[in-house]
Amino acid sequence: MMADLAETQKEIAKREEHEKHERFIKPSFIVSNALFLLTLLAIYLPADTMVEIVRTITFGAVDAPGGTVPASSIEFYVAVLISWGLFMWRYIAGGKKRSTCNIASVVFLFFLIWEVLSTDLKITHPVLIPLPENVFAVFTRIPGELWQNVYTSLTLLAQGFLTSLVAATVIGLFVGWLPKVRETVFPIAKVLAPIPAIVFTPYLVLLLHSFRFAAIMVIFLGIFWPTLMNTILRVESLDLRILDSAKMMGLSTPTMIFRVLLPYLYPTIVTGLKVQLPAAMLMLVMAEMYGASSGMGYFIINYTNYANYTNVVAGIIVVGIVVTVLDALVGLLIRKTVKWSE
Amino acid sequence: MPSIVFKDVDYAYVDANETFEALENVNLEIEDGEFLCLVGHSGCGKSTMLSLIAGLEHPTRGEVLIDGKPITGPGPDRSIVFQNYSLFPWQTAVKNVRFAIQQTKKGASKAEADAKARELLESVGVGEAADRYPFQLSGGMRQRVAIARALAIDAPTMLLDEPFGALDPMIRRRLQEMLLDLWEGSCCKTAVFVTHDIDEALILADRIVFMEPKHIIKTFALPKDRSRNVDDLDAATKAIKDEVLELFEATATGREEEE
Ligand SMILES: Nc1ncnc2c1ncn2[C@@H]1O[C@H](COP(=O)(O)OP(=O)(O)OP(=O)(O)O)[C@@H](O)[C@H]1O
Ligand SMILES: [Mg+2]
Repeated sequence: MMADLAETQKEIAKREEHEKHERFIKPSFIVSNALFLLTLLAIYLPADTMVEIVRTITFGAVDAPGGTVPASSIEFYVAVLISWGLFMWRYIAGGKKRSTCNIASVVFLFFLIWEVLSTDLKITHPVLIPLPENVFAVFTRIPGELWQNVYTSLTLLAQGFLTSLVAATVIGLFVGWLPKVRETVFPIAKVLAPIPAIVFTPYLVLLLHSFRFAAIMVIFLGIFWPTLMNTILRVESLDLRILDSAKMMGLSTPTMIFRVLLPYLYPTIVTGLKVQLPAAMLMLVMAEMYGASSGMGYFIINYTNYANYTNVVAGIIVVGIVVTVLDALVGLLIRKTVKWSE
Repeated sequence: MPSIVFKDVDYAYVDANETFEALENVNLEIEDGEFLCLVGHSGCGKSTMLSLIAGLEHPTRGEVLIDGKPITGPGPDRSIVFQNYSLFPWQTAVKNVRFAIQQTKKGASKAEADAKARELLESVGVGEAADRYPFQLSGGMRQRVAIARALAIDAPTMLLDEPFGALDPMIRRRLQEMLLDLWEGSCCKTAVFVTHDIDEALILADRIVFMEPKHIIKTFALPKDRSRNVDDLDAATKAIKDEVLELFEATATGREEEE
């Protein structure tokens, strides 16, 4: 009897072990790793060999001249390896394994196609589609310039964003609190909120004479209205019983604001960041394309004008990385500080 | 030692374009240290009475006095347990109670307040849940945290709106005893307690006030030294129970005819 029991338990443990194994190595996991290895191979093999291979696979349908090799492939290798490292990290740590694999597959497939079509087969436009090797080499060629521009953009972003967030929250608290004021302000906000702040940019640059100030203004306007509306709605929906309990304790106004209203609003504010921070970044980069003399938007538009698309694509990748990192930071902030729900 | 007086009180809820008369010409005197139970059908205005004493609403006519002075607004001299849970969702159970202590008793240190809060939660039987947020608690647990918070304020007047409504009979019994002990021990806390449960009213009250929509129709004084055991009522208390039950039925049929 006891032995039986032990046996069954052992069997269950074995099955669980097996299932875990199965769950760990999914078909999609194999696909994304295969694509990763193929990408490395495509970078490694000389263009002539690749042309031969592709010609064999396609029965001679693709005929392309082998051409010059890019100066250095190291940066591209590093970029691919970093992507793979991130993928493995998410795969081992994260919960949604299938979608992690799918995302990784798309990324490696993209690298693979880009590499094969441009560097190896040379069938893409030689100027408009830069070689991936050259694009990633930009990161080691002009790291100072890239960093300087990212830094400028982030400074502007922080200034516009923080002032807007504070102003919208304070005003939203005030407006939401007073029904009479709310009835006037809310419809106005509703009309103004959907106007894309970006349309003001050229005008604001002219009006304010300073690009810095104009950019901050654009971010401010873009963030202000949605945040204000959110705050007003949220204050309005505060459960009266909660408010009544607070009143029964005879709270002072500062206590009411800092210990009741702000803690109550906090999750709305930080979850709002999730949408508004990328939106602000977008507005800033767009704004920097008019009249700025630094920043990521300037970097991109400037090299576009000089037809240096290698730098342009590198710039676009940098913007993507910055937005992703900001988003991850906001996600972390939400996970670490928002512990309650209703 | 507050006494509460309702003098010719009308109260109407005014919404955007509707007014609803919830109380009409209510007169009631609640003595110092009295334990008063309000009973009556749902929607007859019991919670409204409490809101007026709490100072959260103001009479449209007449006045509500506490110690002879009109009530002007809410304050920590009265504590209230609301019918619906009203905890701060952003604070854990123990922080909810601690916050009430710190706000109403200036000078209590954080450690003292924390210890007191945990003790109170322990006494209502939710000690293990102290560090959980309201959304992680069951309805009955939240209700008990709300009771602990009201007790923490330690006000001379306690207003309780069906505080034990969401609790199972065992816990309910225990908390009734606890409330009675607290009230008798403090001497002279005034309590106004709303309930649907006649037995609960019989155990707790000095006086039962029966309401029908908008009015008080009858009050019953209960002997102070009666047995507070529902299974073993003396004749006088039993008679009151029967009469209240009859009133419940009479007002119920009256209502159906109205509709
Ligand atoms: N905010 C409000 N606006 C309009 N009418 C209201 C409002 N609150 C309550 N009422 C009405 O006032 C009447 C009395 O309500 P009250 O909450 O005092 O009843 P109650 O006796 O406490 O009922 P219950 O036992 O169900 O809690 C009800 O008919 C109700 O519909
Ligand atoms: Mg009620």
